[in-house]
Amino acid sequence: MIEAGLEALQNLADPGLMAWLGAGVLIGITIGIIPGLGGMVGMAILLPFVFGMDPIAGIFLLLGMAAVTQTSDAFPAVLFGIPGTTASQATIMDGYPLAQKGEAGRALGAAFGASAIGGIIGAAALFAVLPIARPLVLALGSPELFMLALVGLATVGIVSQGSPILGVLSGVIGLLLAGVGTATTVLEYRYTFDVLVLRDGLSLVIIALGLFAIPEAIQLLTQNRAVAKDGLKETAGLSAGLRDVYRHRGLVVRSAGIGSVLGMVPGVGGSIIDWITYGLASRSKRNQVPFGEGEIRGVIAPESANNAKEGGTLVPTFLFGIPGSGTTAVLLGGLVLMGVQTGPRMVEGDGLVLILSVVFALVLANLLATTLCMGLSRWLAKISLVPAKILVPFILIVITIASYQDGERWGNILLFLGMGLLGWIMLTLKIPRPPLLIGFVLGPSVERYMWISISRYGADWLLFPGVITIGLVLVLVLVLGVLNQRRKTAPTLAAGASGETDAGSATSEDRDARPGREGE
Amino acid sequence: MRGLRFHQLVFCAVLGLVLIAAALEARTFRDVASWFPLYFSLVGTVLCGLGVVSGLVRWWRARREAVAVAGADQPASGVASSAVDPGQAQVREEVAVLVAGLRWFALILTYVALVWLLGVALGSVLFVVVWFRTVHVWAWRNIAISVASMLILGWLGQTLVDIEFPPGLLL
Repeated sequence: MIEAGLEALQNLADPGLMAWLGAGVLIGITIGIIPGLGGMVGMAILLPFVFGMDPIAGIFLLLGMAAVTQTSDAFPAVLFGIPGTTASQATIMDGYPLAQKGEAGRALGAAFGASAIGGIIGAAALFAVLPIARPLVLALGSPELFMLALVGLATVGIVSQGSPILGVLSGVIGLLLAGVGTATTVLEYRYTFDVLVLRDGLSLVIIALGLFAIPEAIQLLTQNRAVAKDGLKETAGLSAGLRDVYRHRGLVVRSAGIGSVLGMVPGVGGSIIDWITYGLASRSKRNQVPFGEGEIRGVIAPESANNAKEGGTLVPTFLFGIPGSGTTAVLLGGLVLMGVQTGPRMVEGDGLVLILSVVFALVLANLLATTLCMGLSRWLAKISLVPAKILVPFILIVITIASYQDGERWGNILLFLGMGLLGWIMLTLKIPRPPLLIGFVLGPSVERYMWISISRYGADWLLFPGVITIGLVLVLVLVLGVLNQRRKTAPTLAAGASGETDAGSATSEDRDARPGREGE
Repeated sequence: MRGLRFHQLVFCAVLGLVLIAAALEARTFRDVASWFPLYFSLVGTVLCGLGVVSGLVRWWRARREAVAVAGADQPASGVASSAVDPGQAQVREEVAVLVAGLRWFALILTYVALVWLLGVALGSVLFVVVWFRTVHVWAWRNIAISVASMLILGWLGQTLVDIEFPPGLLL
């Protein structure tokens, strides 16, 4: 192991390999900033170039890109309220409100700092679990995965602000949208109504873009203001964000740990991990501001987790040839093109050198990306000062083109508009939008694993130890969700608020939907 | 359980109808294994019903309080009942915001229609030019710089990152 480690370290001293890593990082930063793209698109773009390359050079290029898209995706999430990739959805919830308060620099600093540390922890997790990965991954079957997906759905109760009924109904809408297209367990089209574009199902990119980007753009226009309502705060720059990361280092490590572990489970994507860590962080008594109104911990938790996840997803990818995510599925294709044989033998000989090189590359890529993003953010944060009527037309152009990238069909643009209209209605009527995304992301997993569990084990799977353990966690999440809601509404009831006004529902979903604050 | 506001109640009612339709459609699926949407549609319909009921109860209570307060105040000041029911005023304002937003949404639709007809390059250029001569007036020099930058970035995106642009019907 030590010899392999030293040999892997020597690769870092190779200027050629570092150049490939740097190129991957630059491409990854660009892809993360542009909404609608993402790690998978970046991988697909780079794949033709790695054919015949030296495996380590090729992996440095691919991983350099994949490791950092989830660092730079904080830019559009914080500055515009638009998810740069599907893994930055949760970051919007508190990152964008911080930008509206003039603290975009702080939010970005916290996002980058948490991403860097999370990515390093993810790399360390990859290194640490190599000896024990096999039994760990094989311990989780369909029943346990079903329960994990239910835990993710239960976070709906935690992240939804205001009325729990509306939060759950929003989640149900998400489940319904997830049902469009081919059924997960049998070959049957559902809710397609003979429309060809619906047969492949709805895309998460389209849903997320439409649900968040269009309503925020409309809101900026109706209120006729810049993103940062009162200018940028001098005391809320990058360094303030980095200090927040240090102050909440426990949260960074915990979230990264969760991200790494869940990332090892194939099929548990970045967006699920984001919401789980966001939901768990929202329960903490250390939160000084309600989640959804600009609590910095709401940025730190998901950003740390989604970078740590990258290290975790490589465990099943390298050790079993099972891609941990869509991005690693394409990476697997790249490894085949480069002649790399994945499997348990990767923990021996040249395979071990390769994996350790990957670990070091992940660490370096995250550090490099954070440094570059920090350099860019000083200028990019000023975008939050640009008046809406100057900024929005360009945002519209970008997000419309972004919505076309997934599948390159006009039907997707129409769906994107439809989701935008729904998102605007939900924003104005104070119906929480994040649960819709959670339901959409988790719906197929819940359905698939449920049916596999039932068809394979009958009712016996309910008594599996893993299922019972995760079930107890599920109950805990639900109870805490209910207590969380009561804690939020108790001060309102005690104050005896009358009529329709409900201070307990003064959340990100309605903070600027309050009419009459800044008219058109 | 806190009651829903009136417009949220309307949303619940509409959603309830959608979920009932979804449940009925799900019953027509051939295989039982694809009936998953049926189960959560039924759960959702029940929740919508609860939401509508709680909203109606809240609305009825608010009306009763408003009438009681108006009845108590009227001999002294003759103040109309709507002035002591801030909830209704807030609902009206929120609906006004919703409608105002729909006007901007119509502009978004206009842009997409332009792209559909003319392609993204020409459609975007036309949209930007019209926007910065009507909605937010800019000097022609600024418009020219923005358009040129936009086209250069678009070209770079297409060349370097392989971004695909939607084609136009006419061009």
